[in-house]
Amino acid sequence: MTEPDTSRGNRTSGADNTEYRIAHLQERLVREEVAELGMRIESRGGTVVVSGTVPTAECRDTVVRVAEEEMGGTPVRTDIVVADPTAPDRPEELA
Amino acid sequence: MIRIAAVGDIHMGPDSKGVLRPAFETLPDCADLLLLAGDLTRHGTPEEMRVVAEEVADLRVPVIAVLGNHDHQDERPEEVTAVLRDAGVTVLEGEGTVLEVNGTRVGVAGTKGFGGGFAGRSGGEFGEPIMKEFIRYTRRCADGLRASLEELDRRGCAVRIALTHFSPVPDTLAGEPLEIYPFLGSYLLAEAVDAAGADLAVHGHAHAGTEHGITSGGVRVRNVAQPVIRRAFAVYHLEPGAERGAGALAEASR
Repeated sequence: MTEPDTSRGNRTSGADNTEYRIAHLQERLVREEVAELGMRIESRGGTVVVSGTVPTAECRDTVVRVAEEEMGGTPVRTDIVVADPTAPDRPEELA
Repeated sequence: MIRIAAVGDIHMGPDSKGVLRPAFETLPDCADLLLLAGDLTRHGTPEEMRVVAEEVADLRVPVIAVLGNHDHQDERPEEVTAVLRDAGVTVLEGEGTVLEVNGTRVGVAGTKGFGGGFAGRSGGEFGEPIMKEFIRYTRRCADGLRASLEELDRRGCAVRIALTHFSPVPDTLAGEPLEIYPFLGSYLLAEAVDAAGADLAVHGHAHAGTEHGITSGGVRVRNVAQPVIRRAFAVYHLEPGAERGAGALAEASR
């Protein structure tokens, strides 16, 4: 009895799976130019949300570009803050 | 009173040249020393560390640093350490340094530290060699921290600070996904701080964490990762003689 195996063709391949794409995006952000480990990347409804803090506006642009490349057609929403380089206005007293 | 400025995770690269310098130039007015809690670069290249070195050179306050995991990425920790030292920065790994602030001896003990997780939810020295080495490496970092804090005590420091990149406590990780806590720090670091005693423990690494925490021995912990403190640096005022930790408790009961 040999039924043709059709299940393989119907499987979502890794490249099209949002969960794996998020994992690959996370790896790419670490490996490539920004070396960014601190981004939170989550699937929300039909979109992917990338949030966190980066050191410069250039890093933010890179993260947005790489995210859009890596997520294929899935809409990417970003909420990325550039770290504030100003001096603090008050100290903390450790009594 | 001792005024301690601290920041970690500034992740500098060629595009961040000069970004922190204006804030750092205000340091002589508001702080007695600057602690850098690692991840000063993105990939740990000497080029990136030269950007950091220019930001902190000739600041008129002593600058003391530990490296972070990013500063190891290019696998040239000695070279990037040398770049910082050439700019006058004291770089610590399993050692301490003593400075004199208005007649008070202030000691800083530093190690990058490593992961493993927190009490009751941590990895152990068991099984595959690579797993054993993971935890042994953390243990070596923690042992170095403990020994250097004890040495600072013997050298008569009225204030002792533990400086790490990885976190000694889970408190300051609140906001990070629970699943990655074992990669963010280790209780072995807190145990070392509590055993030797300290006035303050400062770390970075956890960008989505929170600033405030405390060890079970009562030592205040501050996560100074720049995305957490949202400034160029944080400043803490410490009065000498209010030391916490089991080391201090043991001392008091003598």
